[in-house]
This record gives sequence, C-alpha cells and structure tokens, in this order.
Amino acid sequence: MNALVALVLAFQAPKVEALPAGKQETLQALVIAVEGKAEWKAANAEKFKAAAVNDLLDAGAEIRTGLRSTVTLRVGKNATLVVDRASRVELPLMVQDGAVLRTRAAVHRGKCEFKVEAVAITSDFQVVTPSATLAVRGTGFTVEWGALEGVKVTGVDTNRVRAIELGYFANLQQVFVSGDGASSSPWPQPVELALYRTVFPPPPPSLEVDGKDLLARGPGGYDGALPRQSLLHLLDRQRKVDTGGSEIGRALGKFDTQGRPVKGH
Amino acid sequence: MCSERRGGRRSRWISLLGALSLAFAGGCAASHPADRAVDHAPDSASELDFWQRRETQSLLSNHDALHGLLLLAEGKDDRASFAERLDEARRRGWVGAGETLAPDETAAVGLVCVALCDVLALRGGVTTRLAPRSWRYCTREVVAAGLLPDRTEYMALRGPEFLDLVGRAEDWRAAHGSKP
Repeated sequence: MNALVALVLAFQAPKVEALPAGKQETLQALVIAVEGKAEWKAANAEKFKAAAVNDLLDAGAEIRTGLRSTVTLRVGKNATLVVDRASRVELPLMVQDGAVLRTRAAVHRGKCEFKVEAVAITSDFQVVTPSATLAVRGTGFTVEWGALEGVKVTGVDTNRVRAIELGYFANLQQVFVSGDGASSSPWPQPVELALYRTVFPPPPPSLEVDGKDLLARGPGGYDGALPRQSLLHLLDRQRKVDTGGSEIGRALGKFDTQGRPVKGH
Repeated sequence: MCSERRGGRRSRWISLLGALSLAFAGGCAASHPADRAVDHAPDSASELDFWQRRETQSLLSNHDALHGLLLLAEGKDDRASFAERLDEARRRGWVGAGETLAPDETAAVGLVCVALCDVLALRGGVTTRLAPRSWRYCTREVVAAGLLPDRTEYMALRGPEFLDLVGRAEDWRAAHGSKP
C-alpha cells in the first residue's frame, strides 16, 4: 500500500498554492541521492564539502561531480535535477514570489537532467548555460554544455528521474530504475517487476480459447512450470493493493478479462 | 641622396625579414601551458579540484592529460610523479617505448585519442588494427565515434575541451561498455 501511495505521489503534480501578492518564500534544494564523488558549497563558502543525502542547499549553492558520479536534487517545489558526470552547476535563484515559482539553474559545464512539473501556479524555470538560456515549462530534458560543441539539449531519461523520485517518496524505500527497467504500483522494485514480467504469462487474449486455468498448462505453454502455491501467495499479496482485475489475477484464473472474480480452482 | 634612399629601403627590408624570422621561430616552438592543474590537485582525492582547474586553463599539458586519462581509465590516479604516469602510459600502449614526452608541453589531440581508443576499445578498421598507436588513425576513430569534432592529430587541446572530451568518453563508455 505504501508503494502505491508513493507512486501516486511521485507521478502526481505537487500541489503548490499561491502566496498572497507581494509575499515571497525562499526555497531550497534537497539532495535525494548521491553516487560517486559529488561536492557542493554554499554561496559564500570557500571550500566544497562532500554531498550527502538530505543536505539542504540554499540559493547560490554550487554543485560539482566527478567521473562516474551523479547527484540528484529536488529543487524548490516542482523540479528534480540530476547532475551527471564531470559537471558543475549553480542554483542562483529558488524562490516563490506570490503566484510564481522562480528558479534559475546555471550549468557551467557537464550534463544535467531536469524534470520540471506543471503546477497550478506559474513556473518561471530557466536554465542558463555559457552560450544559451532555456526557459522551461512543465517538461523533462537534458542539458549538456561542453567546450567542444557548446550547448546540447535532448529529451530526459525519464526512467532515471522518475525512479529517483519514487525512491525518495516511497517511505524511505529506495527504488532505482535505469535502462529498460520499470516500476509499477504493485511491484515498485524493478527486479521484482522484471521477474513478474518474465516468469508470469501475459494476459490471455481470450479466456474462452486459452481456458480459465493457465496454471494447468503452465505459463510457458507446458505443464508445471510454476509452483501454484507461490503464485497464489503472490496474488494474495497483490490483492492488498489491487482491488481486482490484475494481470496476475487473470493469469491465475482469479479474474476474468473484465476484472470480475471467477470461481476458485 | 639616392644612396640614402637605398640604405633606408635596405634597413626596412632587414627589419621586415627579422620580424618574419622571429614570427616563424615562435610558431615552430612548442607551446607550454602557464600552469598545470595536476600540480595543485595531484591525486584521486582532489579529482574534483583537478577538473575544475581545467575549466580555466587555456592549454592542456602532457602531465595533466595523462593524469586525466588515468582517472578516466582507472577511476583513480595516485601516482606521485610524471615519470610514474608516463611508465603506466607506456605499459598501456598509449606512448611508444621510444617516444619522449615532456610534462609541461601542450598535449596533442593524437596522444589523447590513442588513449581513448584504448580505454573505450575503439577497434576501427584494418589500418587502426595494423597501427594501433597511430595518432592519425586513432584521432579519426574518435572523430568517427562522435566524441570529437573534426580535428587533426597534431592540434593542441585546450583545457575545457579536454574536460568535455573526457565527459563524452564517459557517456560513450556508459552506453557501449569499455575495454574488458
């Protein structure tokens, strides 16, 4: 259930309410994941310090990473930032000004992934690089800046950003998804989901054709491929967060294609 | 009157030739970066300082190049001196046994590309296989892999360009894997 709540939180746009006109609220960035060598320093500090999960960064903070390193931050109320390898980034402005969220991120070098969520109030999010300034509204993208070819903007690696958000919100449950991995509400852990997708059969196109009890012939088309009890146990677990009609339920013959319960075997 | 004019012309020619020869002599000399980042950030612990110093240094020295490439290849480089780094580079085949490399001379694109071909296992074609340490063909391989814009092997590499190139190599390695 926690995982379901976490997923809903992760994919739902955050509720951001406008402040009274003329009122300003200073926002911060929160470090939510660190991999490899990453350091940050406050606006007036002289030395960098190692980045750690739950570090809070005020406006003006500078973040840098080494090779094979990333640091992920939740910036203000509506953005997530992944600072990739060999990068240096600054967050000069993070503020809510009445009904406007103002954020500036300066990518001095390297590569960063941004996910800016559309919220109920106006979002003024800008990414500044040495050769271009990008205004962003409710989107995900990657900004790369280097001396060889200047600025390069590509689509965000959504898996990566979403996974990190999910990992953060999931009641301290860390879930990282990358590459072809995925996470779903009943199976937040990508490994479990991959196992489920690999071992369990896809939903039958027609129960009339395939018969109701797939376990009788086995998911791979042969008998006895999976132990029935363990599957039923998994189904019971899943039913705690699933009211019915799930893929696994249909595969085990617990539900029909409409999600209605059918008789037990 | 005429001889005075001729003398004036001659002195003008002499000074012009002098200026030209000075210009050519300067052009042929090896350039030396004013400062080396590795002198300030020599080990793995100060890796982030090393990369940041590279941002502002206009030229890349051979010593900085070897330190940066070893950081890319191994993830760390705690060797104490240029001689040790050069030995490691020779062992890896980045520098030939008979080749000399001065620590404070500007690193050439070819040197860096030979190392990148090794670290990223860029195999190339027949020529690259026959001459695996060829600056020319390794540079072509790195350009063909999309890591470097069109460059020639004897061009100098600037500090920020090296930083960008190493970052791109890191991405390439993450996507394609590296030398087993």
